[in-house]
Amino acid sequence: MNINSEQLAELTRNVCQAMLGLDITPSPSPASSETQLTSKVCISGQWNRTIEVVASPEAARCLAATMFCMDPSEVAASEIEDAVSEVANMIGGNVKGILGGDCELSLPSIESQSSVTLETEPIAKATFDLDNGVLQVLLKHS
Amino acid sequence: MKILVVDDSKAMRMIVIRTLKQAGFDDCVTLEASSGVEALEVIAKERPGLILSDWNMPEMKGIDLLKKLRADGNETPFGFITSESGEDIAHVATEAGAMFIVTKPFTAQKFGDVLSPILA
Repeated sequence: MNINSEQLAELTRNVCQAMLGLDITPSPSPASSETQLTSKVCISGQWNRTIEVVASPEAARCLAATMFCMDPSEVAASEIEDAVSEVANMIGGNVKGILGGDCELSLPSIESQSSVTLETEPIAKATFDLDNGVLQVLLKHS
Repeated sequence: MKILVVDDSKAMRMIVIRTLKQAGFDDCVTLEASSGVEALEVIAKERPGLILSDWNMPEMKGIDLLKKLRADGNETPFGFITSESGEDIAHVATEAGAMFIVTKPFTAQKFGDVLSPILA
């Protein structure tokens, strides 16, 4: 069982629409080289996969502001990390459900990185425009 | 009725509470706990009528919180609001005494459907 990029994009759109009321649109743009915030969740067991949600500063701030019903300029760094992590958690849980089998879902981890390094080719990838920023979701083998 | 929302994510606790209001349960008093351990303290002090808990949390998972409550003789209605899905999860939750599982992403309509019989 695998998930393709179209399924990953649909799943991500559903999470953003249902939980945040955000309509996100697919973007052909790759993530830029500016500092990104990345949240990862891992699926382990019968399937071993990593889901990474990579958000530009603008996109991450937009997610947090929407979740917390705040002005984007007012959200704290901890709230931004919480918001991006929760999006990763929801997408990860949905991916786990689609994969099926006996698997565990990890808690989200967060990291900042100066660029998206695709050290392993993702199984699926979905990229969206979000508030003049970029939100990218990657599904990888782990 | 007091409703305790247990989730390590502050964002998700806010979304759950907001969705409760959108679903029409705005006369309920909401309480929050950021972990299973904190939830036990709030439950002992506030005696909520319903507990809505995440599944996957550090320190004490939601399922361990539920098992602890039932082992202590606490039969407060308990439901999971979680990203986890699948028959295995549902089976474990039901066996432990959970009344329902709401999978994220959820809607106010879903909250209404699941919670109306309990909060009526």
